[in-house]
Amino acid sequence: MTSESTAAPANPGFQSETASHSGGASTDASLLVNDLCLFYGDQQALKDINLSIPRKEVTAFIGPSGCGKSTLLRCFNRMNDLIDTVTVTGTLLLEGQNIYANDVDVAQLRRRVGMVFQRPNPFPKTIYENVAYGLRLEGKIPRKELDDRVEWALKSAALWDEVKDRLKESALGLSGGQQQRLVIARAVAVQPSVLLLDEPASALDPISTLKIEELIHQLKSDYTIVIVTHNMQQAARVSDFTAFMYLGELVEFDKTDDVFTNPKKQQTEDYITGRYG
Amino acid sequence: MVKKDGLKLNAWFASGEPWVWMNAAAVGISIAAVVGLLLLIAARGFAHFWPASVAQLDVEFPNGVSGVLLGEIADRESLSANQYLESTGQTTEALEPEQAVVERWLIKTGNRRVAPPDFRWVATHYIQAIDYPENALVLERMEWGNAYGFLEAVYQDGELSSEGEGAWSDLENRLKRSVGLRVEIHALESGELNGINYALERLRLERRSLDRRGTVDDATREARLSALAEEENLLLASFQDAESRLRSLEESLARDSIRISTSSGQELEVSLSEILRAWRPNSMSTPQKASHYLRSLWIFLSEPPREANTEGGIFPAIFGTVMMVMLMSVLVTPFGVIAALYLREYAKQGAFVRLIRIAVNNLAGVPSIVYGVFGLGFFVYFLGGNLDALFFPDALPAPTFGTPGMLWASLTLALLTVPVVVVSTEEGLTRIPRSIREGSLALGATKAETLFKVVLPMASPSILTGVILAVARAAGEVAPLMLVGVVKLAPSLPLDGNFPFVHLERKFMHLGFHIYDVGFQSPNVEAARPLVFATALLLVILIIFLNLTAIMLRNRLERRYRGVEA
Amino acid sequence: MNPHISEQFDAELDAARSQLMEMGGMVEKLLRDATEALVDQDAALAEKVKLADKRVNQLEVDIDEQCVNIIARRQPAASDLRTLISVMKASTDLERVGDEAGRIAKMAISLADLDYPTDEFSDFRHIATLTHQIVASGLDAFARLDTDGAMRVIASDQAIDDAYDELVRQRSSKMREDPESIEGDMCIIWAARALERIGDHAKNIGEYVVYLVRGQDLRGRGKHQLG
Repeated sequence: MTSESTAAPANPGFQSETASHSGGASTDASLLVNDLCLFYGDQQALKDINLSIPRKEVTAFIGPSGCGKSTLLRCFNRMNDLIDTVTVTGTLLLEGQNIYANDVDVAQLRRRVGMVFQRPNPFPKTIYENVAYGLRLEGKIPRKELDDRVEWALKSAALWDEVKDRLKESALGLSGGQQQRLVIARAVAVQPSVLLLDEPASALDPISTLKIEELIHQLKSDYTIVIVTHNMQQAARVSDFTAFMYLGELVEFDKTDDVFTNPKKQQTEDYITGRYG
Repeated sequence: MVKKDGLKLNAWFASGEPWVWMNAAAVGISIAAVVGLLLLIAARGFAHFWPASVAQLDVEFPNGVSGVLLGEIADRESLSANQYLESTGQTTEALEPEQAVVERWLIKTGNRRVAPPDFRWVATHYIQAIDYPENALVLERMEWGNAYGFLEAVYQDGELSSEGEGAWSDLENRLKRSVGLRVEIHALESGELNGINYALERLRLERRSLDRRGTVDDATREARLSALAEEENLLLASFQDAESRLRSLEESLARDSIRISTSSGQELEVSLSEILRAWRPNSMSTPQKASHYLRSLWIFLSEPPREANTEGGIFPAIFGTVMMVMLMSVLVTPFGVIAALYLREYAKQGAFVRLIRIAVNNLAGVPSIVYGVFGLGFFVYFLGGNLDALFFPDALPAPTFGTPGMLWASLTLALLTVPVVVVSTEEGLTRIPRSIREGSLALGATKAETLFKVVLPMASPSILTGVILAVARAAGEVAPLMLVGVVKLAPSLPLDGNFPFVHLERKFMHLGFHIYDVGFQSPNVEAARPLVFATALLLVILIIFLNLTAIMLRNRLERRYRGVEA
Repeated sequence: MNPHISEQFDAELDAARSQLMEMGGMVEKLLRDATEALVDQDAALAEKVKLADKRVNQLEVDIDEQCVNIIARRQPAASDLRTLISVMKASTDLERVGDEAGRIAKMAISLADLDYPTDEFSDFRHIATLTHQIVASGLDAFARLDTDGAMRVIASDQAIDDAYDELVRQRSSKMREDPESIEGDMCIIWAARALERIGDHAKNIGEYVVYLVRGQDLRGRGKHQLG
């Protein structure tokens, strides 16, 4: 595991990465999935997934319920490890490093690959403590630096102006949309290189949803973002690339513009136009 | 018509209204029962401390015996004629013809030493006259219970000081002096003398350990022994000094005495060292009575018992109960929480864990006396015995921990209540949404970090609920305690000024056991009865207080975590 | 293609498509009437054509509105989106076809006032037949989502262009020889030019069909790229 995720960069907004300078997003992959299969016990949930997720772009996973899109997302930070019966085969490279290798420190991995869940899940602590939670896990941080990083994270999540006067109040007093942005701030605070968003707006009202989408657009310049969504229009709005999954298989992966105007596969067409598959 | 009525009735049943009525009735009965219980023990218990008027009764019995009884009317009851005759073994001539009901009074006449018994039943039809003499005097004595009579004279060093009407104010002043002296004596006894005794005991133990162990060479041992002897001499000297001061205080306390005449015409000399309080209830105004009442109540709450627990206060029992419950809570909480954490978070859920869970739940149903037996066998004899052998060999064969005591009682009750804590903690842990745990894990927290930083704080209201239930159960438990640490009279509190201040090996008193002891083991049942009620009420109040504290704490925590969806 | 889960959506799309077809039918008739009026020098028929053109214009507005509503409410994607875009664009082209027909009718009225020999229309008839065909097959390809037919439509536009060039060349030389009938010849050239434009619009419709079905935009591509 590289040390770059633990070291606090001087300029928090900048992600130090072993960036390749090649222009094409398809060659500049942040996450590279090779022949990934996932089983719940005997049941295969993901079938030979091959995918390369471009750096600092938004990739959306769409597909009907149970198609495995969330399962695939949870492979990227090994959240599936929490389920005893899960076995994974194939490789999943994060910046060229197999995250399913034996010597990978899962906690460290999750600091590099942040995740935001469907329902806002702030801890029953103050707003400040929520954002500082991940930072405190790194060890003792001077108060001043902690303050700065909390502020930076809240600003990154476009929440600072709304909460700067009540950092010491409970996070549970925020609205659903604010809570979700707080959770994003919490994830951003530890400066991951990848952000996984698992239906981040499905529990929110349309205005909050738009704010989240706008935020995703802003965060794109610093993070590789992978978003799972049921809302096709949302995928169309926020993503640069779209992957359509069906019954555990990756059916189609292409530029969002192409997928939404002229998909290659009939299954994709049927799904995004709302037809019987 | 009948059919129509039947339909109506059916409709009424279908409307659910009968259920509402039944529910309301059940709730009403429960409330009435609880309120009735509390009112009964409150009335019986706390009325006891009100200074009752002293009645002087002229009694004439049919066999020609007549006399005067002076005392408080403690109880009144009506009996049917038959019951009365049976209980007294008299024939019908004893009653008026056609008298169906006999009323009789229980008179507390006191003066147990000179004119026992101190409680007498008197049928009202034998009473010729009732009078409440202004100057009737009640003495609360160190021994032999109350004395009732009339103050005749006050003596100082055997010399007459005052007589007649002036004697009362003279006595009041002298009582004030003796109260001061008694405080000094108490301070000397429980402070200095107690400390010296404790230090001497430690010296004795150290000498024994020097004798026993062969590890120290002779020279140092001799040196140490002589140092000990020197120290002991110093202590003994100060002991003698303190003791002589004590003796002089006691003499000074015994300087005054009074003479009273009793209702039976006897004259009684009572030294002031014997008298705790004296009052003339018939001439007291209501505010005076109220202040007397509060003093009596305070004495009851703050002083140790006297006279085989029938007199004095119950402070050691309150203290013992509270300390035992607190210690129990301190022991049971981590124990139960850790067990629940393992069962819910770490153990692989399966048949085996389910079996353990069933076993834990069933442990709550085991009769408490069984826990007492286990505590005695395991904690006291096995653990305590081994602790003594390892750490307190110098005191052997006198046991230190190898005998029932505070620690073992608390541990036994902790064991008794641990299922409650485990169950409610587990419930709290399952209620925490998975998304919260995942949120923490996704930030790179380990499972342990997630548990301690997020999950446990959120489960704390449930943990406290468990502790509340545990406290409620433990505070009311008596049976197992009789085996593992409770005694009817403990010589010293488990917490005092002698190093190491907390003495968990000591036996202690407990309100529940105190009720049992005073109510059923007392040599003077009539005198003790009001105390049973007062003690019971206090036990209830104490449990309510402990519960309320915990409930308030839990509610505060719940407010903090409100809004987290399950 | 599978039906939508929302049957209402299917119905709305069908309605838009069939309205376009209705408009196509009207435009076809308009075109036939206009050319007939010109050839027969029937001023009355030409007046009718000019009136009917107004209805076509109204129909275009209706179709646009319908499509905008569907886009706003259904947020169509992929083939549905392409269908609506094609319908909207095709309706515009059809409206232009209507306008051109109107222009032919105007020429027919002018021509009717002149005393123009009736046997001088064979070249014009040729273009008119070609144009009738291309419009009919364009609409047909649209109705049946027939890309092959659409490709043929696109290709056959060239024949009209060629025929128009031929007509202009012949009429020019005729005008030089016979300045008497120059007015009538100009009318016929104008009308033929309208037909040539109509051919272009029909070609556009063919392109929309290809876009609708394949998602390919053929505009601006050279002929050699056409399948």
